[in-house]
Amino acid sequence: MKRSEKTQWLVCSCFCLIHSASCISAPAFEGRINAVMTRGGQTETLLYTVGTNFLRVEATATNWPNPVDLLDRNSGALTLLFPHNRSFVQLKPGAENSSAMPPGFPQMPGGLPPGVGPQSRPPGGPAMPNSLPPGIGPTNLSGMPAMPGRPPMPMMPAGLPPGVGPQAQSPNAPGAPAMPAPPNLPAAGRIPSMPAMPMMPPMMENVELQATGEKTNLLGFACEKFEIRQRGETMEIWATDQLLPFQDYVRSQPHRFGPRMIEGQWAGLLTAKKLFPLRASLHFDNGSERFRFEVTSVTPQKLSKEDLKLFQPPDGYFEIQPLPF
Amino acid sequence: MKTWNQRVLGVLIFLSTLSLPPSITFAQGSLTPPGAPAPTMVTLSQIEPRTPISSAPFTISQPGSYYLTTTLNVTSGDAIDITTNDVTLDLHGFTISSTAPSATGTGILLSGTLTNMNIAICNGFIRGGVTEDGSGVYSGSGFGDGINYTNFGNYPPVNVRVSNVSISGCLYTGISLGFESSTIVSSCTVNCVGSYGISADVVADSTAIFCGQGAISARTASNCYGVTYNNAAISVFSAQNCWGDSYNGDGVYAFTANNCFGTSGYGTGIDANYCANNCYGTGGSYGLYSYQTAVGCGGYSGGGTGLSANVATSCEGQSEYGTGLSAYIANSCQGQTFYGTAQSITYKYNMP
Repeated sequence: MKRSEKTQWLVCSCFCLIHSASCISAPAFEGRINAVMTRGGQTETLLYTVGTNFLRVEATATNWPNPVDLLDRNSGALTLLFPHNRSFVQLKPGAENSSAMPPGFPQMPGGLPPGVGPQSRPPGGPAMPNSLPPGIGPTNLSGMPAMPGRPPMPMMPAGLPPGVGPQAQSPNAPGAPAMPAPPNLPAAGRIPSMPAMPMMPPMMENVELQATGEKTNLLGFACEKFEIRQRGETMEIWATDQLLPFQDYVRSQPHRFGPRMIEGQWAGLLTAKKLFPLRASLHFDNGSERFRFEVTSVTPQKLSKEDLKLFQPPDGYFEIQPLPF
Repeated sequence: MKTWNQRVLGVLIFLSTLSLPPSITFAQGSLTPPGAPAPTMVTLSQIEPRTPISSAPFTISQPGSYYLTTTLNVTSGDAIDITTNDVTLDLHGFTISSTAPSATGTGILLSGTLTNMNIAICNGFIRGGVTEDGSGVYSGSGFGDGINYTNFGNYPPVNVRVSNVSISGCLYTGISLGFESSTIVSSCTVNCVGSYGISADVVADSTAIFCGQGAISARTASNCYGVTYNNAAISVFSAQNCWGDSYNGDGVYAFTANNCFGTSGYGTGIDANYCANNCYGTGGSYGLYSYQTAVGCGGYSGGGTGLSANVATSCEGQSEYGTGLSAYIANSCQGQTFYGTAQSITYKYNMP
């Protein structure tokens, strides 16, 4: 073997060893993840197709043209495909978590003192009347018994084509917004300053992902338990760091003011910690559950070249601009 | 010596001569004609100084006032392209339509090179052939957008008004004017568009229904009604007297909401980022949610929370399976539930 060939062989060997070592130390998951999300009495099956550089999240139900999320895992850019009119929207990285205001708009009033927030359970409320006031309440929630003695919800306007309306679940805007900044009043000086509020009771708590220290194994992945608490609700999350940073299924363009509810914030909290939930449950402190996310299968799988097309808008899709805010 | 009567008679005769018509009292002028009469008519441009538009596609490249003289139809692309500033376009009650086999192009496109400034569009209809098939899919012929502009996001329109225009059957957008430079949509209706219904700084007295991805998005909306399948039906900073209905998103999503009604299948009926006053919402997640205050509000949810606010005053929340009323501070409120928790309140005043 010539000297140059030896050198080449050594270089290649070193490269392979280094590459193999890096793969062993940080194996990037590639494959498919199936999950079930339940909210508002509706169950939805989600499919995560995980590539090295891209992620596709979609609802597997075929009864409605649900949006499809395409995430560039390197840049964070999110593309929403809308099959219902063959269009797509490209959101800037981080936009799905943004709560930014347009220029000149005053920010939300100030952050909360540390450790504040309702922690106690209220005493029992008054007895439920025999029937709710007339004219309120949806009547089409599946799995729920019909409420007696109540007229139906205000109906859609007459004249709409029959059978319209998606059947899927509500959007879950991802991401955890930073707590709002102190107000930035325009034309400072013109507006008289507000007197300090004496003895203002603590306001809403800051939503945080808190580790409980509990650990378990789900579907072969080591998981740690986390909790999020807010106003009489607790979300329990079993998450692992052995898959990928979580990406919530985004149905709509993000709210301009940012999400405020737990189910709108939990995904962002997990993403920031590069965790993927195997099981999550949001329930009231009285025990009733109103949101659940659970992974049903994880299939490591090398994606084919054909699969890579899944991470691009299909031919014939028209790009529409996102709403400015 | 004249008598008194004779004197009076003399005075009366004198006065009567003063009241006689000049033609009687003075001589006639010359009977010779003064010559040919000068033309007294006004020109057509004096009667109608505006520029007529009788065919499409048509490009408005010069400032001025334009009006339609007939119904216009295109078979592809845009119908009217406004490439300059300072333009008023009166549709004059006529309709602009498209029969493009694949829905593309725009009914009225604002495509100024740098910006679109000082433009008013009024009084007419823009119609495409896009329909929804009952399963959520929008397809068909016609326009992609009703009224839209180019340079989206870089040079949004300035001083643009759209009024008394009805748009239907577009694959993407009904009326899109941007948010940042003084745009108003008033007394307009949008029906059956695949993406956004109306977006502008101010939207008033308008409706957008049967939209795919949001009905009305604005800084402020008043007296509006929106129905959509995805996204919030009405998404604004300030909502006044609005009704929003969304299947998947929020009914009304606003920084402040006053006198609003919101319904949502799986989202939140009224989602107020700061405060809600005199509002009512129903939704699968929350009936009414206000990040800070709710006053005089009501909310209902089947499986979620009826009404949730940081500070609730004179409110009522109801939920079948979840929490009726959730608040950090509640004053004179009531929470009800059938199978869940009636109320979750840290500080209560004037209530059981």
